[in-house]
Amino acid sequence: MSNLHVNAGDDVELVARAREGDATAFDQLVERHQAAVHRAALAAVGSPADADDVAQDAFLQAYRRLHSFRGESSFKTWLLTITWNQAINHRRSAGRWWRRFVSIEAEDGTPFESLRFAATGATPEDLAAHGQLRDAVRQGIRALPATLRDALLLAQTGEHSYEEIGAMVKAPAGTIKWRVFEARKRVRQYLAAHGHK
Amino acid sequence: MDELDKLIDEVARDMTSAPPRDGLTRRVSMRIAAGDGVRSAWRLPRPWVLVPIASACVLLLAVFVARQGSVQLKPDAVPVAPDVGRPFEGRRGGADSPAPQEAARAGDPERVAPRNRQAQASPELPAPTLEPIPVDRLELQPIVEMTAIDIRPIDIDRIEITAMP
Repeated sequence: MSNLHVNAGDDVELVARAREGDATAFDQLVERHQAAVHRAALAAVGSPADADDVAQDAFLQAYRRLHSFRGESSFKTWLLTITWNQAINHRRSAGRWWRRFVSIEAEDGTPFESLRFAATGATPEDLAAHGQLRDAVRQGIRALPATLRDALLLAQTGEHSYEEIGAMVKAPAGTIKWRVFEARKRVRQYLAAHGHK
Repeated sequence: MDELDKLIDEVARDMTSAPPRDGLTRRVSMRIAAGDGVRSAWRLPRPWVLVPIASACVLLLAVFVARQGSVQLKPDAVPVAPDVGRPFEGRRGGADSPAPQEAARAGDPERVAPRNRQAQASPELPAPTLEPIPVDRLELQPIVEMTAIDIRPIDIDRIEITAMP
């Protein structure tokens, strides 16, 4: 479910109430933006458990800095910028970075790919070939330089506009679009180099 | 956009599709209520990261201990008494201190070098005595004799430079 069009006017009112000490108002802000925050964190750190930690820390930091929010950008953009900074700090710790690339499967033990083609009537050979291709695509995405991978993953969350991504990673929206295009191109090159035409 | 690009986007979407754990709002509000600080990015790694590191450390320690334990004295070796409390004399005595051989000949066992003392301790081997070799004079010839370097001028009649194509 996309929260791309959360009503910014409601956010302003909730922020004002939260500043006055209304705890339930901040809870509502967390409820409204937790999916976007979590997906941004997941795009950066790769592990759902770490993304959960980052999301908590980001909300906590937003709460502490609520008095400094001047409303120049939307609350969501401001919150996502805090989240991204928190996630990048988290990613820089060597252990997590290493774990991200060692771990092939998701933390719960299930592969990222899902067997969504089970009901399409495809043969087991088709399913196996498609599964291998999806694995190769995932490896290709993991092999991308961080700037390209971040742009591609953030753009595909469905939670963030190019402008919001640009504000998060401190780059113009046009640059983000180019990075997404370039990321796709590099993944295609990776697939070709690994025998997937 | 071709099928492959669609697949790339779909896989990228899947990679961030895990939903947040239940109760995120409750956990955040609990931390706010508890006055909890933001956690540092440098936290202790999880156990499965620590276990291989700890195992490697134990292995290294075991190898080190095993190697230390394998150093044994030869059966016929005589342990040398430590020179505790003696002033350092250097490898050679000063101008007014006699050489070790002379000290040995003079019957001063305390001034004998440790290697000689060890040899004396073994009953089968007599203490080696080295007689001094009388040398009147040492003459060292220089290996290379430098003479003057004479560089004569080179006569050049004409220099021809052809035009570049």
